[in-house]
Amino acid sequence: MVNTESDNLSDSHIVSSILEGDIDKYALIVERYEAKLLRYANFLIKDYDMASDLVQETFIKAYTNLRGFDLNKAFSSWVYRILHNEAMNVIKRNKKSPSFSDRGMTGDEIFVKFSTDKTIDKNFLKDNVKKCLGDMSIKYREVIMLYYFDHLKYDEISDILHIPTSTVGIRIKRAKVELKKVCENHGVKHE
Amino acid sequence: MNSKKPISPIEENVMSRIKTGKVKMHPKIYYSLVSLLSVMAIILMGVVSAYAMSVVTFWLRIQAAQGPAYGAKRNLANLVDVFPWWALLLGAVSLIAIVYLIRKFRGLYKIKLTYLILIVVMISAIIGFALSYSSLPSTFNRRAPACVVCNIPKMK
Repeated sequence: MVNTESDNLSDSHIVSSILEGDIDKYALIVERYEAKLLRYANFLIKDYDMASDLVQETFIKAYTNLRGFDLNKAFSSWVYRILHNEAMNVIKRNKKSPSFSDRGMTGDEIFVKFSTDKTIDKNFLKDNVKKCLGDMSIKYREVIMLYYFDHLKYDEISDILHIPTSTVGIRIKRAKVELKKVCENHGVKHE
Repeated sequence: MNSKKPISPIEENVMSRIKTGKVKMHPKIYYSLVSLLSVMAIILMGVVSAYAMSVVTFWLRIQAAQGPAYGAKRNLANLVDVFPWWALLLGAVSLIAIVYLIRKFRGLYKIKLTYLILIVVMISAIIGFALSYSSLPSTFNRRAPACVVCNIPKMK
């Protein structure tokens, strides 16, 4: 079992230890990223069981390719990228898009302001829009997810999606517009 | 205090597969080979693209020189007939392959696709133009069983 002292180690440090033969430390990587990846996968494929399988496969794939990881780069972006690729493969294979599983609220209960970015960013997106996100295109859904829910920077998102940093900004901007439209269709009132 | 965290099913499955040896890391040589192959593919596509460009440039130069000098008023249909379309197609396909390979394996996704295409096309065109002054297009023409640059007389 990995002890809590290891929690303070950086990802690169842990990966170095694994590459030197301490394979037990990989459990730490799994612990660190499991919840985040599961949430991201669930957002992308909208099926919890499939998302769990996907995350498991991502960790396996990350392990087999660990020697190909550049220790000078962010491990988080790298592992997210693997998950992104796996998810895209699953989506292409299945071409299915069931409704988002989180149905804890109805559109009528939501009353939000679209007038300022601050409102959108902090209150609206975090608490009320999961239902709307489920009906957005994957292209926009994933940038919203990575930026607002996982709090990743433009650079990190660029590394995950393999798009230029400027495109990330444009995509987030367009995603907000689409989000607004989708939420309006769901009966979300706004000012 | 010994506070052990509960192990999730995902962690359990992943770690058991790793510990039992069912899952192993790829050896370093694997990445060296992938890297080498990608570089070689880019170089090969670069050569193909530059050669195709050189054939097109060579053809254009001959047509430009031939017109006034020979005083021939060849119609456009005739020019289109003898244009080396295969070279243009080959050049386009190899350029697409280069851009794909560069973005896929060399991690240049941070550069906008339009800029990357422009850069690759410009480099390829410059090399192709330079090559058209060499003996490369006519050398291939002599060796090829079918005509490579149809109806092109040798330039002096």
